[in-house]
Amino acid sequence: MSDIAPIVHVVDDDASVRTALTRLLQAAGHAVSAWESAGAFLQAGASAARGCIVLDLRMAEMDGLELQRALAQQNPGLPIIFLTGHGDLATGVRAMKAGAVDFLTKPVERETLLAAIANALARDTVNHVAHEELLTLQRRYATLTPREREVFARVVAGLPNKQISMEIGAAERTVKLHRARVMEKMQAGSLAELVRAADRLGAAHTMRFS
Amino acid sequence: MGKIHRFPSRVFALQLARFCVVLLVGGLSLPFAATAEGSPPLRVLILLGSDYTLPASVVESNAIRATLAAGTPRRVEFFTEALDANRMPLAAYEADFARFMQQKYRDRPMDIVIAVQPAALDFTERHRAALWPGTPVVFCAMPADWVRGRTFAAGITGVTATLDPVGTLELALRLQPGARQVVVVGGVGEIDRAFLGAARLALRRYQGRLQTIWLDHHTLEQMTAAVSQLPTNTIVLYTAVSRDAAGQVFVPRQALAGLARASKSPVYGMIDTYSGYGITGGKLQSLEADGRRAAGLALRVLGGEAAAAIPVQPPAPSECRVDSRELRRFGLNERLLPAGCAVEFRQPGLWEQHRWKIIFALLAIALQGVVIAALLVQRRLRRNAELAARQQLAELAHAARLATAGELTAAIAHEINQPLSAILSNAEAAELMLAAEPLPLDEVRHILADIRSDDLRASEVIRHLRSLLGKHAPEMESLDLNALAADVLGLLAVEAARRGVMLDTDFGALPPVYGDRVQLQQVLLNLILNGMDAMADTPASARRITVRTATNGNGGVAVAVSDVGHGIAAERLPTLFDSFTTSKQDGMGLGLSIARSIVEAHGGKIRAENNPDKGATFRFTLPANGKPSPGQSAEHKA
Repeated sequence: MSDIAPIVHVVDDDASVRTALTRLLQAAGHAVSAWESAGAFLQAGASAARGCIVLDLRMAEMDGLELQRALAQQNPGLPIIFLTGHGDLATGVRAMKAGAVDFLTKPVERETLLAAIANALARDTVNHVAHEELLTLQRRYATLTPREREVFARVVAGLPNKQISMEIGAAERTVKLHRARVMEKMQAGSLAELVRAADRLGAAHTMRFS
Repeated sequence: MGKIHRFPSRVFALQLARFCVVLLVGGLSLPFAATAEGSPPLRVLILLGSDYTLPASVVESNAIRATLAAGTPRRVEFFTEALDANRMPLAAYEADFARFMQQKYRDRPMDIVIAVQPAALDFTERHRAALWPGTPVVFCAMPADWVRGRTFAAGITGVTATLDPVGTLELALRLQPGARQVVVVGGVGEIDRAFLGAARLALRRYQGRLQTIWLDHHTLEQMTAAVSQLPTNTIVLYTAVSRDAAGQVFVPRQALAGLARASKSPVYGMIDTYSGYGITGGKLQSLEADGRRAAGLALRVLGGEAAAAIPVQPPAPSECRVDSRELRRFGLNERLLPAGCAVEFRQPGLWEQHRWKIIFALLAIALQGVVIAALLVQRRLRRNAELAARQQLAELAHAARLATAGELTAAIAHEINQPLSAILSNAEAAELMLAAEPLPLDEVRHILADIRSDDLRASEVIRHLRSLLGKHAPEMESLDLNALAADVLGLLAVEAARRGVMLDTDFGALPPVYGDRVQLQQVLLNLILNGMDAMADTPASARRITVRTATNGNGGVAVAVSDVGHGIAAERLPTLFDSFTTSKQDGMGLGLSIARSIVEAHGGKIRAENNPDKGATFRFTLPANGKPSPGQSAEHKA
C-alpha cells in the first residue's frame, strides 16, 4: 500500500556516531536521514514522513524525551528507538511509557539495532495501513448525504427501520432505500462491516447524531 | 759547739733539781691562796729558749695558751719571755737577763713556768730558786735524748719530743725505692746541731745502703746551689738551718722554702712546722701537739697534782705527713705511702677549685643542649607534621576527585560510549560493505579512518580521567592556566550540556604559574561543579558559568568562576571554606576546604563573594613566574 519507502531518521548530536550509524543503516539497506539535533529534525518537518527515529537520549539542547513529547503532537505514529550511553532505568521507563518502541544501550550491536528498526518500521507500516483505512472510510463517509448520515448513525446504533422512520419522519420504505445507499457508499458487505467502519470513524472523530 | 753547751746545762739542771725539792711545799700552796682571794688570775710564764718569732716558738706558745685558757675556768694571764739563745751566746747576758726578770716580775709571782726548748729549761733550772722559788715548772720541746739520763728538781716535769730521722728516711725510701744517696742539709746553730746529731745517728744504720753527703758547713747559697744540681733520685734530708756557715741567721723554714724550691730531688723534714714549706714529707714531730701535751701537764699541776708525782712524758709518736704538691712535682706514687700517712695540701682539682663555675657551665651547656635538642625535635615534629598534612591533603584531594568522578559518571560514560558506539557501528557497516559488489573501497577507507580517530578520542578521555583520578605524586611544573582551564571545561562539557549549563570563558593573557596540574584542575573542577549545583533551580535557559582569567596586581594570576545561581547565604560566607560545612544534601563539605588547601599550598588565596545581581563568584590567585616561593619546592608539595 505504501508508495514511499520508509526513512530511518538518525538524531544524534555526536557527528561520528551519527555518521557511523548512517553508514551502518545504509549498508543494511535502509534509507537514512541524519539530524544533528531534535530541533533540526522538527523544523524540517521530517516527522511527517514514514519510517522511524533512532534518537540519542542524552543530547545537548533538547534531549530525547523532549523530542518525544513534541513528536506526540506532530506525528504520533512515528516509532522512536532510544539510544542511550547510560542504562538509566527511570529514563527508560518514562520513554517506554511515552510510546518508545525500544530502548537500547550504546554501543549497540548491529543485530539488535536492525531488529529494533525492523520492528519499528513494521509498527509504522501497521500504523500507516490503519491510517490509510481510516482515510478511505472518511472519504466514503464524506459522500453520504445528511439524510443518509442520520440513517447510518441509527442503523449502526441497532435501531429497526420502523423506528428510524418514526425518528426521522420518513416512510419506512424511504429508510430502507437510504440504508441500502449507505451500505453501498460505505462499501459495507454486511451490517457488521458497517458497524466496524462506524467504530473506526467514531474513534477518529465523534460521530454526532444531528 | 752543741756539746759544749749541753754538758754544763746538765750540771745546772741537777743543781736546780735539788733546790726545787726544798721549795716544793711553798710552791704548791700558792694556787690555793689565790683561789681563797676570790679568783685572781692564774699567772703563767712561758719562757722560750729561742726567738719569739721562730715558727717553732710561735706554734708551741700558741698551743700552750689555747689549751690552758680552755682548760680552766679561771682567767689566765700569760707572760712570755724569749732567751733567743739559739742565735746569741746566752752566757754573755744570762746574769743580766736573770736580774731583769727578777726586777720585772718582782710583784708578780707566777703560778707556773713553762720552759720551751732546752735553753729555757737550762736557764730555769739555774735561776728558779732566785726567780720563782717553789713555782712548778713544766717543760716542752725538749729532745728526748737531751732529757734522757737527767734528773730534775722536784716541781719540774714536762714532755719530751723526738725527731724521727729513721722513720723519715724509711718514708723517703718507700717513695724513692731506687735512691742510693742522701744529702743532709743543716746549719751551724744550736738547734741545727741537735737536728744534725739525730740525723747522723740514724744514718749509721744505712751505711752501705745509702751514700751520705753532708751539707752542714756551707752557706745557704752554696747548699741551695748544690741541691739544684742533684741527680733526681736523691733523698734530701733537711734538718734545720737557723744559722749558716757564713753566720747568716735564718728562720729555718724560710731557709727551707728557698732551698726546696731549687732542689732537683725531694726534700724531707722532721718537724711539722716545715710542712707546707717545701718538704715532700717526713715522719714529723708535731710541735703543736707537744705544746698541747705540756699545757695538759700544766693544768694537772695547777689543779693540785704534785709536779713531782708526774713523770717526764715520753715523746709522742711522730706523724707521717706528705705534701701532695711535692709528690706530684717529683712524680712520686702516693700508693707507695704507708697506711695512715696523711696527704696534705691536696691540690684542689679543677673540680674543687671551680666547682660552681663548672657546675654552672655544665648546666648552661646541658641547658643549651636541651634547648637545641628540643628545637631539633620540634623542627622534626613540625616537618613530620607538615609532611603528614601534605600527605593528608594529597589523599583528601584524591578522595575528593574520586567523589567528583562519581558525580560525573554519567557524563564520563557518555563520553567514552560515544566513540565506542561509533567504532562499533562503523565496523559493522564495514562488514556489511565487504559483502557488497563492487567493494566500496573509498567508503571503507573512510570508515577505518573514523574508527582510528574515535579510538584515539576514547583513549584520550581515559587518559584524561586517569590523570585526574589516579593517585599521583604531586609534581610541580610551569603551567599555562588558560590551557589548564580549557582542559577542565572540556572535561565538563558533557556534564554541562546534560545540566543545560552554558560554559563561558573570558581568558586574559597570563604569565606561567608554578603548580601541580592535577590539583589545580581539581580546584577549577570543584568550583565549576559547585556553580552548576547552585543553579539547579535556575531556569535552564539562564544557566551559565563564566570562567575568567587575568593577571592580578602582583603579577600573579587570578581566576574567577561565576555562576548565576542562588548565591551564598551571608551566614555561610565566613565558614564557607571550612571542612564539613555544606549546603548540599549529599555533600561532605570537603570540596571547598580542599580547594583552599590546594590554593594555599601553592602560595595563593581563595575567596568567595556574591555577585551584585545574582549568583556567586569564587576567585583564587596564584603567585606568578616559574619559580616556587620559598618552602614550596616540589618535594614539599603533597
